Amino acid sequence: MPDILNTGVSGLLAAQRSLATTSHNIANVNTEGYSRQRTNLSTRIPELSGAGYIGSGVKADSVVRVYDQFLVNQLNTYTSNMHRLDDYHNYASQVDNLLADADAGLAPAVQEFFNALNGVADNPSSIPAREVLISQAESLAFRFQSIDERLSSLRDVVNSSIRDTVNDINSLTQSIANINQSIVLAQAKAGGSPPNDLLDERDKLVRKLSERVPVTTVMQDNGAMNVFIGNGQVMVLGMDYNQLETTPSDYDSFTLRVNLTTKSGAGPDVTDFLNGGSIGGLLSFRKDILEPAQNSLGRIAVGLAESLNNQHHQGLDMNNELGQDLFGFSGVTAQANVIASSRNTGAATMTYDITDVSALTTSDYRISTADGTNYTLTRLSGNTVVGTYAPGAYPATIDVPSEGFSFSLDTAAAAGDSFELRPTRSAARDFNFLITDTKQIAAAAPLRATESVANLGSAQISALDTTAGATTNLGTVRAGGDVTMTYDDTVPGYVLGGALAGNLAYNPATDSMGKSFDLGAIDPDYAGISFRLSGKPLAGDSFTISPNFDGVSDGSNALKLAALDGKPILAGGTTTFQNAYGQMVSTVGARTHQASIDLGVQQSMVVQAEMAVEAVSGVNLDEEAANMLRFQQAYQATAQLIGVAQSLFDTLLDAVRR
Amino acid sequence: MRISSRFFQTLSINSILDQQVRLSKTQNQLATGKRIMTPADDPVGTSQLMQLRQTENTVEQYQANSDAAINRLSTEEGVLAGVTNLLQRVREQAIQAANASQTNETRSFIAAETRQRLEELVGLANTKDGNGEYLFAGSKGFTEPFVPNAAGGYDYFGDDSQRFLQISAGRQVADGNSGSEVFGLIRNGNGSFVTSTSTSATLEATLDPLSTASASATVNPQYADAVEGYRIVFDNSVPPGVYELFDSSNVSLGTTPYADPLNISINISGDAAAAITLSGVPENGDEFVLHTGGNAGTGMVTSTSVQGRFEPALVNGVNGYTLHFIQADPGDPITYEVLTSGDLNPLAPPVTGTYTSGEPIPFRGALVTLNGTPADGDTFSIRSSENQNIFQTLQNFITALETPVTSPAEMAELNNDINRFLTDIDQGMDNILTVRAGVGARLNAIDAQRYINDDQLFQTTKIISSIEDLDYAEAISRLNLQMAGLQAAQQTYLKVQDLSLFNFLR
Repeated sequence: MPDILNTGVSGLLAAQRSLATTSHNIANVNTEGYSRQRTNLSTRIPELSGAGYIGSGVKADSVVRVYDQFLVNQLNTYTSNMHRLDDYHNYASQVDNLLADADAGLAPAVQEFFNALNGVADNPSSIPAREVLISQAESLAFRFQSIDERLSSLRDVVNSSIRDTVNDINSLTQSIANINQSIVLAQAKAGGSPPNDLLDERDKLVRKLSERVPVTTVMQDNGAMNVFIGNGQVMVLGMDYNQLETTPSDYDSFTLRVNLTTKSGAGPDVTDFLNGGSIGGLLSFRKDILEPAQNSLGRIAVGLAESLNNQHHQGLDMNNELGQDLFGFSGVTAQANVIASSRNTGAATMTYDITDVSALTTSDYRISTADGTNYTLTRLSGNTVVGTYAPGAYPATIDVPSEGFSFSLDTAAAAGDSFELRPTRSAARDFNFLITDTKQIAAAAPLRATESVANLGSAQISALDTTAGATTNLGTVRAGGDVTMTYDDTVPGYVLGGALAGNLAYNPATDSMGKSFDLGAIDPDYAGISFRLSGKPLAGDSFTISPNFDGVSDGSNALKLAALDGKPILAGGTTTFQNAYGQMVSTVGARTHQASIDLGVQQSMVVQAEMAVEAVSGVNLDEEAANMLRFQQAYQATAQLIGVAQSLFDTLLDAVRR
Repeated sequence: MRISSRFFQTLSINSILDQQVRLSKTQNQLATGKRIMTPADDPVGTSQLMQLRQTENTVEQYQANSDAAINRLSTEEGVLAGVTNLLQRVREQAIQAANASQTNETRSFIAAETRQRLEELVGLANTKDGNGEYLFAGSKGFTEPFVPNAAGGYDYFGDDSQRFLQISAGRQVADGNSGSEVFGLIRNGNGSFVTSTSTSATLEATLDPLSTASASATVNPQYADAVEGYRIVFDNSVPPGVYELFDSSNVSLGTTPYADPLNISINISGDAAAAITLSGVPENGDEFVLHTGGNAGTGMVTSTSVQGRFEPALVNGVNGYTLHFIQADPGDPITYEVLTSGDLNPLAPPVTGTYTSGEPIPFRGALVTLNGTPADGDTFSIRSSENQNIFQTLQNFITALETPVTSPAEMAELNNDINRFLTDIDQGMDNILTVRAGVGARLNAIDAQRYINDDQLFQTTKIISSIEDLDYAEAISRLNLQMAGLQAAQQTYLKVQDLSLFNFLR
C-alpha cells in the first residue's frame, strides 16, 4: 500500500529545498555575478501494485544555476572592447584637453612669436622690440618643452598603468587556476553536481580578467576552465597558469612591452596581440595618439628651427655680423644618435642628420639588417619598407631624400642587428632659443645696392635679394667687399669689378624694361644673389653691391623671417607651422571624438549583453515572492497529507479497539 | 522577457547618471558661452577655429604694421612740407636777386639769408623720428646722413634702402624714402641737359700787326688752365711755311705745314684740350698766344627746352656739347657752331648758323635760347643733366651771389648762374613733390588696405563666433528639456522602486 506519510514527507522535503533555494536567491539579490538557482524536482520511483504503478512522492534532484554560457561569453567580449575604449578615451581626452587649452596650447605662442618678429620688422632699431622678440622666442621654446613634458608624463602614467594592469591580470589568472582546483574537487565530491556558487565566482573572475585583456575560454569535462589571451597564448590550463611580465623595449627604457613567462622560462613578446581590454586601450593610446602627437610636435619644432635658422643666417645683426642659429636642440646637435637595439651583437654606431624638413614625416623608423650587408629601412607607421641599402664601404652615409634625413654607419653592423630612428621624437623636448643678446638678432639684409651719383643715364637697380638655402657663402661674399658694375656700350653690358670679374650682358635697346641677374652664374660663391637692372644706362654709369654696414633701420630680413609664418614648409611644402599644429589638434580631437562615440556604442552593447545575461540568470524579487508563495502552499498542502495519514491511522485503530 | 531586480535598479540609476552628465555639459556650455569645450566636441570646427584665430591675429598684426607705416609716413610728409616751403622761399629770393637794381652788397644780404636757409634745410634732412632714427638715412638710422665736406658741399652717409612693412598678405609698403632719393639724386638743369657758360679761348696776335692771318680757338673747359699761354709761331723760310707749337713752358710740341685754313689740335694725355683754326696769309714770325678765360660777351642762356628726346653725347669720357660763337671781325655777323666737348669736332651733320638774340638754337633734341651779345670765342657747354644734391644747388647759388660783379660780362654770368639755379631748384622742388606724391599715394593705399583689413577682421570674428559661440536660445531650451528629463527619471525611479510583491505579503 502506498505510504501517504512517506509521500507527504517527500513533498515536505521537496518544498523545503525549493524554499531554501528561493531564500538563497532572495538573499543574493544584490550579489554581483550571482546566477539564480533552481531546485529541480522529480517524481520518486512509483511502487508496483495490483492496480499498477502508484506514485510515491517527489524528490529534489539537483540545484542548478540558470545560466547561458553563450551570453556570458558575449558579455565578456563586449566588456573587453568597452574597457579598451574607456581607457583609450580617458587618456585621449587628457591630450585633447591639453592641446585645446587656448592659453597652454602651442598656437598662441607661435602667433606671439611671429608678431614679435613683425614688431622687429616694423622697428628694427628698437631694442625694446628686440627684447620682446627674445622673450617671446623663449616662451615659445618653453611652450614646446612644457607640452612635450605633459605628453611625456602621460607616457609615464601609461607605463605605470600597464604595470598595474599586468599585475591584476597575473593575480586574476592565479585565482582562476585556484578556483578551478576547488571546482574540480567539489564537483567530484558531489558526484557531478555543480558547485554553483564557485562557478559564479569563477565567472566573475573571468569577467574581471576580460576587463583588462580579451580572453577566450574552453571548458574541460572535469569542470575546469582553460583561459587563453591574445593569439591563443595560454594563461590558465586546468590548475596551471602562466604569467605576464613587463619589460622595457629593446630600443628604450621608457616604452614598456609585455612578455609571457611560463614555468619553463621567458616566453614570447605578446604586446602586439593585446588589442583589447584596458591594456589594449593603453597600448593603442600610446601608439595612435601619444607617439604621433609627440612626433608631430617635434616636427613643428624641427621645421621652425631649420627654416628660421636658415633665414636668420641670411641677415645681418646689429654688430654687422651674419645671423647665428636662432633655435637649437640642447645636447642634440645636427647629428643625433640612432637608438641601437639592446640585442645588437655588433659594435656599429648609427647617426642621422635631417636634410629636408619639408620631407620629414611624423613616423619613427627601423633599420634592420639580416646579413650585415643590406640594410632595410622601414617606416613604422604603416610598416612600409622605404628601401634597402647596401653601403659597401664604411663609414657610410645613406641619404633618404623621400623621408628628409640621412643616416650614417661608422662600421658594418652584425647580422640581425637593428636600430630605431626617431627624427622628431625629442625635438620639442630639446627645443630652445639660443640668442640672449638683442643685438644678435639679424633683422637687416646682408647686402645693399648703391647707384653712383655720377650716373647720367636712367638705369636703375632694384630687388637685390639673397635666397635662403641657395646663398650659403654670404660670409665669403661679404669678406670679398664691393662688387661694382659699370656699363660699357661696346659690350653692351655691365662690366663687373671689385670682388668679381666678368660681364653682365645688358642691351638698353631691348632690356630697358628690366632684366634679372643671378651672380651665381659668375661665381658659385655668389649663388642666390639676385637683382634687377632696368632703364637706359650711359657708358660709365655704375652700380655697386656692397656688404651692408650699420643698417640698423633695415628690417628686410626680419620681414622675411616673419613671412615664414604663412609659408607652407612642412609635409612637402603644403603645410604651415600653425596648420601642422591645427592638424595635430584636430587629429587628436577626431580620434577622441571617435573613441567617445565608439565608447557610447560599446557601453550600450555591454548593457544589452548584461541585460541578456541578467534576463536569464538575474534574480527577480517578484518572481521569487511568487515562488515563495507557491512553495509555501505546497508545504502547507503536504503538511495536510501528514494529518490525513494520521487520521486514517486513528480511524483504523478505533475500528480495531471496539 | 525577465528582468532582474538588481539590474532594473542599475538601469534606472544609469539613466539618471547619463542625464546628469548631459545636463552638466549644457550647464558648462552656458556658463562659458562656448559651444566647443574640447577639440573632441567638434574636431573640424576646432581646426577651422585655429586657422581663423591665426587669420585674425595676423590681420591684427597687419593693422599694427599699417599704424607704424602711417606714423612714419606722416612724419616724413610733415618734414617734406617744410622742405617745400623753404625751397619756395629760396626760389623767391633768387628771383629777387636777379633784379637789375641789386648791388653787390644787397646780393650778399640775400646770400647770407640763403646760407641760413641752407643750414635749416640740412637740419630738416637730418631730422630724427621718435625712436631717434634719422628719417632720411636709408637703413643706417643711427648715422647722420648729410655731413658737410671740405669742399663746402654735403656728403651723404646713408644708403639707398627703404624699409618695407607688411600691411596685408601680398602687400608691402615702404615707410619712408632714402635721403639720396629725396635730396641727393636730383638731375640738374632741365632734367635732360644743363647749360653753363664755359671758358672761352682767344688767340692774341703778338708780333706782326701787318699780318692778314686770323685765328680762332676753342678749348675744352677741363684743360683751360693747362693750355693757357700756348704759342704758335709761323716760319716761312721754306714756303709754304710751317707753324710750330710751343707749350707754356716754351717746349716745342712739333710743327705743322701751313695750308689755308689750318686746324691744329692740342692734345693733353690723349684728350682734346683745344682746337685752333688759322686762316689768311701769315708772315714769317707771326705769333699767336692762347689765352683762356671767362666769356667776354653778354650772351646768356635764358631758356632751355627739350624737343623730342635729348641725345646725350659722350666722347672721350667728356659729357656734352659746346656751343661756340665766332665773330672774326667786330663788324661781322655773329655765327655759332656746335661741337662735341670731348674732341671739339663739329657735329655730323654740322650745326651752324647766324646768331640772333632770343632765337632758339636747336640741335640733337635740345633747344637753347640766348639773349645778349656773345663775343668771339665765347662758349657755352650743354651737358646731360647730372645728379646734384639740393644742398649743392643752394651752395652754388650762394657762391654766385657772393661773387662781386664788376663788368657786364660778369653780370651776364651771374644772370646765367641765377637762371641755372632757378631750373635746378625747380628740379629739386619737383623731386620733393614727386616724393610727397608717393608718400601721399602710399598713405592712401594704406588707408584703403586698413578698410579691407578691418572688414576681413570683422568677417573673421563673425565666423569665429558662429563656430565657437553658443546659441543661447537653443542651449537654454536644451537645458530645460534635460532638466525635465532628469526630473522625470528621478520621479519614475522613486515610484517604480516602490513596487514589489513583498509589499503585499503581510
